[in-house]
Amino acid sequence: MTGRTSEPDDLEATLVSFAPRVYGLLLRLVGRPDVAEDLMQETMLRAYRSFDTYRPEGKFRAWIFRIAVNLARDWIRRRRREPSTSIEAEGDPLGRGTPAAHLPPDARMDRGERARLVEQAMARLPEADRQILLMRYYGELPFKDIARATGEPLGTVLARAHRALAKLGNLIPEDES
Amino acid sequence: MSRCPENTEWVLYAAGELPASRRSALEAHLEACATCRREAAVLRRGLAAMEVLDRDAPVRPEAMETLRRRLRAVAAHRPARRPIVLVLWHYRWAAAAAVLVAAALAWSLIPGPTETIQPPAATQATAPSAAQWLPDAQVQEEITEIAVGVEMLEGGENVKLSGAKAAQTDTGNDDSLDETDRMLEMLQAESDA
Repeated sequence: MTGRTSEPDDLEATLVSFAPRVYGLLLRLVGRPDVAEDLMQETMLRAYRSFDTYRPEGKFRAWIFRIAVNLARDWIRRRRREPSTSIEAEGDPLGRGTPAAHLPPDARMDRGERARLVEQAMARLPEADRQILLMRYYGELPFKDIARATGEPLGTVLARAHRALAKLGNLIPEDES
Repeated sequence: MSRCPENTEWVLYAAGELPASRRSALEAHLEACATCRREAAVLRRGLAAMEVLDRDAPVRPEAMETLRRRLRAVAAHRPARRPIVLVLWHYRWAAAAAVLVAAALAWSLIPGPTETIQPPAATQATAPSAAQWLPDAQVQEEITEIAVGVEMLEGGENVKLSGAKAAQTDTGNDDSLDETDRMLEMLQAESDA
């Protein structure tokens, strides 16, 4: 959806339809289903309340994902300020801190296992780089829209994306490309 | 293209976000540059690696129901937009005044019956076309009266004329017209003499 939703009923239905995608993004950002669920709900409520501030020239999806990413950032910052409940202390469900694993060249590894390795690799990326890739993948947004949503220059966004994609790309053997 | 493109441009290339002309230029460069071929291939593999991730994560039905309920609760407390009638009611006096002004303007522009709309006397004297608004007999009468008035003014009879006109205005009956006629006759006699 790129245009402005005019009726509240339409807005509610649109937000509900975005819920699984936003939840998927948040789950990859914070790594905890319960937190991702709470943040997803908060994202939708904030979007609903502040819909009047949405500018139709931007993509609606980018606007929603920006709210979600900002909420996830806030949550991660708060967690870091709490030493007894740090991500490292609890164990990271996304495998941050796990040694890098390369995908085997043969195709016997099932999709779930490959997904787990990719998630682990993404979890090791710098947070800002990972957010760029997640917005690109889950939001299906072009990089210029991501730059607009994050408020960063396009060059910075592309530099982050290059660094992150190069790391992910090196996981996969050349003959699988 | 001799120089290698920036790394960030290869990101746009791998993601398919370059304009066609620029994309063609980079593809031409790839044919001649093994380093950039490797660069582009790694970035493509990086994008492909993410495709194993499910974009939509299943949300618990209870969580979806909670979301719908909370959205409805927010909607219920959201101030409703004022109906347009109420908005206009706020400006009812201005709207009424505008309607009256428009009606008066329209009324003044519509040609009505000849008895009710008459151009000013001065206009009649200087604009012959205005005579079309009046019956011929009335036009002649008006012209005569005005011509006499002009003659009187030229003859220095301002006081007598204004007195006669004032009497005509005050009484509004045929006697005043007779008085005027008599005065005009007297003036005509003086003029002849």
